[in-house]
Amino acid sequence: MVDQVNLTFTPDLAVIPLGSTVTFPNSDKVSHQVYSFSPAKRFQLPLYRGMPYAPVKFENPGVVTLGCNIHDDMIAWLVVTDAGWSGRTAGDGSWTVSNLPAGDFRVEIWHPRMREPTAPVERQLKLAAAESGKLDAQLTRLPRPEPLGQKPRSWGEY
Amino acid sequence: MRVPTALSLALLAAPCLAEGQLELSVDLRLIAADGRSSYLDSGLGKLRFDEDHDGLQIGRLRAAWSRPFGERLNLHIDASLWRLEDHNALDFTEAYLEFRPYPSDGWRSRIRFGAFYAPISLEHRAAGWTNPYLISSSAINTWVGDELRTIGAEYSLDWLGTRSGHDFDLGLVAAVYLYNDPAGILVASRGWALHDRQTTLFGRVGESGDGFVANRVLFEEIDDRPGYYVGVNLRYLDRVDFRYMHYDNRADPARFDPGINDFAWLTSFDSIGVRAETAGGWTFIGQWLGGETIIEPDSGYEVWEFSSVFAMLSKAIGKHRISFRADWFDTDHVRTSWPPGLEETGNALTAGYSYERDQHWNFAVEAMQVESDFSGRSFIGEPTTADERILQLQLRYALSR
Repeated sequence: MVDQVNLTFTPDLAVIPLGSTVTFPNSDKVSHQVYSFSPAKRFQLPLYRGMPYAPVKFENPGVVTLGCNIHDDMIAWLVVTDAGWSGRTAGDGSWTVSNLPAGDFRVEIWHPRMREPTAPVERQLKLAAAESGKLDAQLTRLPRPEPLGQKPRSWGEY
Repeated sequence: MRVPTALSLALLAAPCLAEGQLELSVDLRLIAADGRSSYLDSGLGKLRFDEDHDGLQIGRLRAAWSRPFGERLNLHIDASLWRLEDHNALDFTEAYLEFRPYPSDGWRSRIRFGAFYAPISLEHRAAGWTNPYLISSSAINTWVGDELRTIGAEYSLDWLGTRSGHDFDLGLVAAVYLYNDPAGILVASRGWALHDRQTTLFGRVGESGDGFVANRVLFEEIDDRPGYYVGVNLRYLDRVDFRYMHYDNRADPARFDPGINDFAWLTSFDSIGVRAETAGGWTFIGQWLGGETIIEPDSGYEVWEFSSVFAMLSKAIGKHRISFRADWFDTDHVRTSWPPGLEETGNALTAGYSYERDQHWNFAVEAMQVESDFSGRSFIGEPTTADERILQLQLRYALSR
């Protein structure tokens, strides 16, 4: 589920398995009009409040950038992946997965601020059972700055 | 515009209000001012409320209605009352239909048709073209609210780079409009001003009728020549918004309309502005606007060059906000057969605090000082220099459904 609260998508980034469905409820009092023109999934949800629409199914891997056609400041990302194990890292970059067998892994890393906005970078990682590994990937652009504080609801676009 | 006045409330009272979104707000002020007699009351003071308007005053009563028609069309109507004695007291400030198709591969078009504000101001972000930082607008955008309105069609094309992994969005805007031929008369004959009043579509400026600025109609077509503007808008993430606009009403300065006792003022200007925001709650806005206005009475060309610049710094701390602004303004009557002409220089300092308690209640206080030297005051027997101060307390209640 990607909710819309106080003119913000929540969460702003989610990693979802290929073929899964996502609902886009609108918890705001104002209407939103959600769209994506990303190659991995193009869709539009006509102007709505509440949750009038069926969940959207994501059948192609890739990064889907979400926007609202009424509020241009709203942005979020869905990473659709067919990887055996996937998830969103914590703020310190760590990520934990259980039931991972020992072996050689191809790891794909993606962040909205990487140079290539839609393709992950790849790293190789060899892990024994119950071991932690460390991978480095350089962001080629400054991290997106902290979100601006919530704008008053009455603000519009002039 | 001289159009039936009963229109003002007819649309708002229509039963179709049940659909769409209705916004109502009441803004009351407590005023302490020592300004010269206001330009709204036969004088040449810069303030909306002069020394005769101390005490409780109506700031603004506003009703607005937005209604989608299908997926891509939206109708917006905004009406306000600024003073009970005004001609057409409750009247429209904006009324337009917007066509907003979905973006396609990062590009998006928008078309507006009707009466609305050109995207010049970076201050006026709140509903009803309200300045959320300070009660009174900068000299530049006070003038925009006084004299300018796009009554025509506007096309904008945005490249939504931030939706395809880039850091920038780029926008282009162009409009063609009529009914803005009198634009220029206020900045020339009154000079600059700083306040929050907006001229309504069927309203007047200077109601009392015998002053220097008397009963002016701002939105009228005199020469049947459409004007235009073109602009560029560059946005870095959601942090920095840069705007440039060139505006030219293409009026024929030799044309005079006896019906409104006014010339077509040939007015053109350029405006450059930037707004930058930080996650820490800081906002900076800076804007420069400069241009000229021309009329051609029988006595020959009258040419004014006008310019103004301001810088504003604002800090939001939770529901509290503190803002400061400095304005400088200048008008040169570079060619005239009426010596000494209408020349002006001036500056203003504004400091304000606001508290947004919730979505309904807002409280603000503002102190402003305007120093100006306007040669036009000699024509009404006043000293040309004026040092005007105003303290305003504002209480606003807003309702939306």
